[in-house]
Amino acid sequence: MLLEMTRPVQGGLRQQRKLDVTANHLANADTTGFKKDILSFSETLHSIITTDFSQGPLRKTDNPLDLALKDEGFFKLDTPQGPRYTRDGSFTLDNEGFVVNQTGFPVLMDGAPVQIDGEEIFVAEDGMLSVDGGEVGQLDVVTFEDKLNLYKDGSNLYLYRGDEEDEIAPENISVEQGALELSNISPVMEMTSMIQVSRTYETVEKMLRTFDEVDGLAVTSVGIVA
Amino acid sequence: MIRALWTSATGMEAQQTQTDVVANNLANTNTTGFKKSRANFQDLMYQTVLMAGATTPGGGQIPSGIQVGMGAKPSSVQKIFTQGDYQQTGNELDMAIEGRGFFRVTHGDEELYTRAGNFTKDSEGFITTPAGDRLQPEIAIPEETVLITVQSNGLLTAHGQGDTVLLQEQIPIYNFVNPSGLFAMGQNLFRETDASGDAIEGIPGEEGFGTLANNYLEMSNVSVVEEMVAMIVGQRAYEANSKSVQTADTMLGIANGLKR
Repeated sequence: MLLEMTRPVQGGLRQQRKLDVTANHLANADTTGFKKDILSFSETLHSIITTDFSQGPLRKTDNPLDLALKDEGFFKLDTPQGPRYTRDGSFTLDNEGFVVNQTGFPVLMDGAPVQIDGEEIFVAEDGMLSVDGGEVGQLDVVTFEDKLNLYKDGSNLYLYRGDEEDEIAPENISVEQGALELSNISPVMEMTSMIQVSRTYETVEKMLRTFDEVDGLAVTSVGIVA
Repeated sequence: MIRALWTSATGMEAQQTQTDVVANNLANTNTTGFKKSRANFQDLMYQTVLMAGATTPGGGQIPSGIQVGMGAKPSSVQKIFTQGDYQQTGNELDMAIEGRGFFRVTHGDEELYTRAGNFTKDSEGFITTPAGDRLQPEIAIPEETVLITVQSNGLLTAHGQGDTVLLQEQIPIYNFVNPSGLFAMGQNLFRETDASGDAIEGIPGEEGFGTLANNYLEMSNVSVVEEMVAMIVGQRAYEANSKSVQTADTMLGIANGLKR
């Protein structure tokens, strides 16, 4: 009896977790470079979350320090907590002319922060940044063999739980200047998933009620001599 | 469950910021020298429900954990300093900066910066903004002046009757390492901040500085079409997030209804 009850309860809890993920996706519908999570359940019904690193659509902005990655890889940032990786290329300059992200962490080029002094900023497809015609540095665009070790750290950053040596240069680098990568969620999919969650939750509720009724009958009717 | 409710609330708030920014851009479509803003968003922190690499009761290792995101937040509202369009006005004290740079004006006892070059004269002949803030350095146009010209390098000349030159003054412009870091004061004025860096003085046309165009005004750099699209996106995303709230609410209702 109790076991019968726990199953639908577990089912309901899983639907709640799915809604948490969907709600987070929709909240980040406009977050630059956001990657959606895939929630799946193992045979033993453990939940597993993996990030879907598929390409998001690009939006043209014409801002010279807005960079979008059209292929694999991540920009590398230097933070006080160690290196962080991001797909959000909405960079800007700080008061000393260093290229930084919106939180103020320096963007690494050839392994070091880069200071810019000049007017015309040009970023080539391979990530080579030049100012007024002179090459300044190549943007560090890196990826990893095993992306399962990349953790979302908030603020559009990823943390690699492993050795920094694991960084590899992506086979295909394609940097687009004056554009931003949008979030890769699809509202239709999220809405569908939400309908599914809500209906499955109702089903679970019906199951619970049925078990309850059966139990009720067992207690009150079984054993009554007609 | 409650998590989903709060997560979608952060999403709705983010979209409100987006709409606020768009509304302000649209309101300033015809503001001289106005620079549009853009709201940038980031994902919030993640709650780690299950740590990857932890040992399971069976002695195995959990290959990937569970991290549930808590929503989105606006990371910055960034001023976009692309060039605005030019409008020919024929007004001799109208100046547009083609390229980088700002005019410096005194507002009260503060030195502020502006891209709006729709200058005029005050009662004493000084060049001022329409709000009465004097252009720096202060230049008094002599009374007998019949024509004022400003060359592209910022050299202002006041011509008198005949061939006489009554006054020649240099109008400098000022630049910042990071103009996006300037503090927008309203009234087309910007104040320098730690983020923008110190103002660098220069002569128009020098390396890194724009040139002046006399008789022209710089219009705002707002593109109405782009803003409209941003507004639609903002509205729809807001709607989508409200659906998350509804769903979470319905599910909570069901859960509450379990106990008769």
